Amino acid sequence: MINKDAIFALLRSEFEYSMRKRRNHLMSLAAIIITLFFIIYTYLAGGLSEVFTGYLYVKDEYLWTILLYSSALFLYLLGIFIGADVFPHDIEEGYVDTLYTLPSTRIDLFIGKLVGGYLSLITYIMIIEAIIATTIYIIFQVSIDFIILLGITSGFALASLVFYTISIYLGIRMRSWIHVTLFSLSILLISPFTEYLLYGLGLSNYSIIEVLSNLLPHRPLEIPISIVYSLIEAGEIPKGLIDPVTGLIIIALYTLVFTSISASKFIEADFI
Amino acid sequence: MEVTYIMRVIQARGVTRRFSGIPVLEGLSLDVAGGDVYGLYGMPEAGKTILIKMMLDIISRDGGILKIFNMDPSIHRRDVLLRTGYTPQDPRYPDWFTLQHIIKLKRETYNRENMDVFLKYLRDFGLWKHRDRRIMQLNIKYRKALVFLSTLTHDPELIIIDEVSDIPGDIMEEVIGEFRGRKTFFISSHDLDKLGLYVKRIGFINEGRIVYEGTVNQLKKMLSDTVVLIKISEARRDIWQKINRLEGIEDLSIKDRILRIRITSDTGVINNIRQILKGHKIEIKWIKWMGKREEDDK
Repeated sequence: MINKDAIFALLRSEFEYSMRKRRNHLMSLAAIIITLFFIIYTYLAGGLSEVFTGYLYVKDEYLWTILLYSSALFLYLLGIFIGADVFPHDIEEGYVDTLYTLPSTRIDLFIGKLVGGYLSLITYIMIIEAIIATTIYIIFQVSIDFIILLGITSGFALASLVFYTISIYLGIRMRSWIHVTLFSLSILLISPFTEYLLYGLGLSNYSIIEVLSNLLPHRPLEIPISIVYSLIEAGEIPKGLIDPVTGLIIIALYTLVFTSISASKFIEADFI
Repeated sequence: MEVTYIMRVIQARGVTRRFSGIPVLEGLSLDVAGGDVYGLYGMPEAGKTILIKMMLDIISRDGGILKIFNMDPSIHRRDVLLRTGYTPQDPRYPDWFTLQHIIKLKRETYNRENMDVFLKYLRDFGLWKHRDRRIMQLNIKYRKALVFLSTLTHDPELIIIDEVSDIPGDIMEEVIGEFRGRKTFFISSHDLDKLGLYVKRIGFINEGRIVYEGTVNQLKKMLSDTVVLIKISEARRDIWQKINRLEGIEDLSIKDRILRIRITSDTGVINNIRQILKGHKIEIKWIKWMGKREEDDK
């Protein structure tokens, strides 16, 4: 039986640890600075509508694209960094003897730490997006609709969940923060191949040329974008993007698979 | 006729564990009855901490039976931990943790507290002033004392202390004196003299199994005039000479980074050797007690 008191205590401890971690502060700061740099550069280059001539999107919509593309990579990295730290830091720092000997089952322990880390990731994303949205408003006098901002944040939070859970799994297997981070980064880099595979299975509407020309780390970022666009365009699937439903299914499957195997590994793991 | 039933709080039968094929525990068996103050003595790396971590389900076992309160900790983890208070060898918490955080965490997870005894000890031993200090900024002596006393807040039936020598003696004596017969203590150390201050019954763990159980004095007699092997990371002549000058050591030799020493008095000298090696940043890989020299020679 699940003990919610133990889960909550461990969740709070993990959340607080992650929110205090300087490495996560630096990554969030980098996401904010890079995004703001793009926004200011665009502004100095002569305004949004001129810079983005030829694109299908209207001025306001493109703000989101800037926001998404420039900060997204850092947000995924944040997902990897937090996920990679959840279990290895307990072993590396020696908290196992104190935190893992509280009266809880291993499942309580796993849930508490998994959810605690993930809540901190969502909190970071919300703070970053809020700072960026405020800056956009100050510079361009264009406000992003609250619902759209919520959609963007939810999209990132969901997509980061994939990288977060991959890192959690690797963290239980490897016990070394740096090894987990390197492995997760390599997964982030090769993930466009997943899209290619989906295309082959008829689940993606990419053409091979488009896929091959876009074998870059930013490709998986389009999963949350598709979710946002589906919110905006009321079900009309944008060309060149993965079907939002498929995107959600991919995220759900990735998360489910990695969380399940992480839990099974955690239950039989030695914490030394 | 009144029948007195003494419950076995800890029961181990043939417990085994290997790490990368190397045996750490090899058929370890022991019994600790309720209300007992049991000491587990062993050289560093003998398997004391591994056994304790198995009792708390931090490490799994390869084979054998291990029961705490007649429950397997790997199955009834929560139930076992609810009734157990554990002081680790080096208790570590996140940087910002103060004693208040530890108490709060315990209050949330144990759902019961007995603060009176804990607060009394904090005041009696002058530890109250440290309550708001960050626990990791305290030295190991105070940190361990605070963590040890904080285990009393959930009124555990079994108190496990890994390496008792770091906890101030007056605190240990007071707590054991207060709860002797009412709580079970399982105390480990590599310092036989320190352990001897608190326990009457002692188990000696060597190469992953209990090789002796009895009184401290008997164990001291058994350990005198015996051979000890110490595997070190680096063999240096100057260190060898320093060790050779220690009292209570004879027939020092070194081969393949293994120090072979005959101890003539008691194993307290092992701690002196550890200090010398630590001072020169030489790592001890393992220490093995080889028994009487005659047996070793055979």
